[in-house]
Amino acid sequence: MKEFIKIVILDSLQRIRSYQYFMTLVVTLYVASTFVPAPDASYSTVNLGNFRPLYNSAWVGTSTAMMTALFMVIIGFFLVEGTIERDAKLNIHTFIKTSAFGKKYLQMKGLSNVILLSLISLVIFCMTMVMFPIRGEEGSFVFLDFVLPFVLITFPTVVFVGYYSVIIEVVLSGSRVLKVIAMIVSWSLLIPAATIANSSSNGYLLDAVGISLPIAHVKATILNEFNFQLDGMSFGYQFFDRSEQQLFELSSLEYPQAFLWSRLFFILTVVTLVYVISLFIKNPWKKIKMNPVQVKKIDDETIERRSSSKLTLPSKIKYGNSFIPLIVQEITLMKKNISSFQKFIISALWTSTLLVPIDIAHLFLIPGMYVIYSKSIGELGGRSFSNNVSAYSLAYPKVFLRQNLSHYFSVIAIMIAMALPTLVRLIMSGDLSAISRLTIGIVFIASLSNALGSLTKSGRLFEILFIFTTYLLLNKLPIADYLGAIHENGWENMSYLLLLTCPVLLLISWFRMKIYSD
Amino acid sequence: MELKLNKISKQYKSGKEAIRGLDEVFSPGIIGLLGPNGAGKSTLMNMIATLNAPTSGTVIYNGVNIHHEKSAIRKDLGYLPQDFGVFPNLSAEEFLTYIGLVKGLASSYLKKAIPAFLDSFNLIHVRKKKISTFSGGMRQRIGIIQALLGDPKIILLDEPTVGLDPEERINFRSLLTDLSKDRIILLSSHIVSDIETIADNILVMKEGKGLFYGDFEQAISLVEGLVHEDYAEDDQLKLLKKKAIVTDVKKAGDQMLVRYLFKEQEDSHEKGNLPARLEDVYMYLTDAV
Repeated sequence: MKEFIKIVILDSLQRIRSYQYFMTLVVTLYVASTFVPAPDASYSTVNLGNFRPLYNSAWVGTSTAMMTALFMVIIGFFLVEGTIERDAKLNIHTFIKTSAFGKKYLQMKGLSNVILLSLISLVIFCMTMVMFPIRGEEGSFVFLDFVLPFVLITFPTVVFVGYYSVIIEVVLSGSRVLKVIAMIVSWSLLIPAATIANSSSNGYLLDAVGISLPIAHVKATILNEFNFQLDGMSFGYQFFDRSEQQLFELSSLEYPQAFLWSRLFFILTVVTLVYVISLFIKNPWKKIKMNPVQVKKIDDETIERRSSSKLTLPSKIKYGNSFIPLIVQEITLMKKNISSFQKFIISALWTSTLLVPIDIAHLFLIPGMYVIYSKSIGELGGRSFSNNVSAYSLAYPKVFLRQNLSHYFSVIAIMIAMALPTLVRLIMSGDLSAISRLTIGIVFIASLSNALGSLTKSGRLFEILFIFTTYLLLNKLPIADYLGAIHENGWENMSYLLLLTCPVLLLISWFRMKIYSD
Repeated sequence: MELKLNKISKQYKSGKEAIRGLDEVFSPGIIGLLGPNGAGKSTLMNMIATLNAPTSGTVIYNGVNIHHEKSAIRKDLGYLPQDFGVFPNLSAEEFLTYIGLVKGLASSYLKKAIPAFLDSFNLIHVRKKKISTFSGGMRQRIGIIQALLGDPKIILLDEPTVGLDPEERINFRSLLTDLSKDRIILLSSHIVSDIETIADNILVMKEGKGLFYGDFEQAISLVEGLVHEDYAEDDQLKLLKKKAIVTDVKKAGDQMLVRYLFKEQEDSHEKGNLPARLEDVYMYLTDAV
């Protein structure tokens, strides 16, 4: 057991000690600071219609615990996904396969995922406590009001997500698209189930996220104080006028036994499932493609020819400063990083953009294609580092200039290609405003992917942010309208912001690459 | 063409001194870099590749301090680090085209040069296959080709023969000999025979210091008359290891045939009459410090 825990800790440390994880924590800190909006802020994260709770310990602790649990369900998988595949790519799996540890491997990965996600939750927890004196309105600081929701609501969700990710990764091994679809389907089922679950023993069993109890508590408080039956609560960043909201005070949450048993039930279910899977799937790396090809036996004639003739290279070296061949090469690389299945879906969406109303294509289909491509787009800036090509490429002349510009333009080219039918239709309809909005969005995404890729040396952070933002966009939140598809009043200001951000992001990636190369 | 290491030292933040006052001049030819792990070979290569700057001293290439003007050497450089990566989803041809373009070479040149290299390294039949399907030796050859692309004048190869089968090693050595005429090739290897066969000069390093730099004859002269060979039992071998440097042990029936040399020629020792090998010199130099 002692050895097992040591291995879990070492595996976690290996994953935690990365620049990418550090950047994730930094972004988490920022996101956590927005979980509790200022009382006079124009947005809310937990929407209660015409009601607003006073910011006391009970509300701040409970609402951030709920938001963290939801954040983990939506984003958690993307933060921990790929760990089993990475072991195969690093050839560590050969040691594991031949050791007695093999059977415990999946449990180890589950626990390691839990540690990674718990650390992120801990950062949010700490940020919440820091924010309380700033944002708090009423009452004294009650430590238990912060700790208990995190321990009883968030932590079981973290365990659930950590182990559930292992299940998805093993069962759908070899196909990242299927894994992502499975996770999106899962959260599309889990979150509504949790929000509609009753606060009863049976109801809790529908709620893997653990938010049904606080929702019921908030509803009961509103019913008692205002004699008003609140239909539901919604989560996420929403903008509206909050000046007309009625205030109420939430008391500390009490945790009935049935709720606690349900939290334990979900933990035990996923842990048991992982255990059962580990009994049947002895080789979780089986479907990961990495079989080397055999070298062809060289025939005598070839040996004869090669021994008698010397390497014949073109007599004159030609240098070329054109970026176009490199951009073409970058596009080839991006295209190769997606599977046939993804290509099929993109082709279907691309064709649909010719047929559906332009608004639908702009708001749903184009972002959909970009999400499918987000891994390739995000990887671009950090790919040289994650594949260790930078070990030599940085020694070549003007590499940062060549690579950076080719990354930038290749992303723009591929995104424009995906939006081309819509752009042509917009040109034909003379909607220059929509064309400019779409183009600004594309340039912004290219700049963001390049900057985050070169900063984190990986595409993961961009991918997470991009998927999350697109999720908000599909929910028609104006703040996430990076393509100008909703185009509400005020988008002009946003377009200026995006346009101003682009050169800043470009400079960030530029300087970062220059520092690496110098 | 000349590459001058001017009393260079490298100290890491941890306090570890990777290079200590290395002072050598390299001219065209193959320079074999020998030394145990941690000798500073890779640090030296990284420094010449301008990926690391020396803490003190200068590296001068054709009269230019390369750490002040990096482009002076980068345009002439081909580098294969010990640990390197590839883009696994690209084919061999595509990946080499990518690196060639990153180096600033023209597409028209690459279209002719890449197939020639792939043919020369016995990879032409897999040029369209994804590198992710390649064996270690095949990847290593891709690494070597990327370093040689664009006719670099300075070629740095850190353990290039790792993973190559004997035939490919011979092929690689003959190619390197052909290329060495007007280039400076720095070749680091643990396989002493690789260096012995092709290097014009040898630099032996240990703990960041240069212990010897010279040609093969000069190296051999260091241990001339010191090399012995005898049959020995287990106990005798243990005793011998205390007094001398054992460079080779072969099983010969019940006994062992031991090749050894004394650190210094003393009157009490009989003069060795065996012809010295580079391995003897290497053991002599690295063990004596």
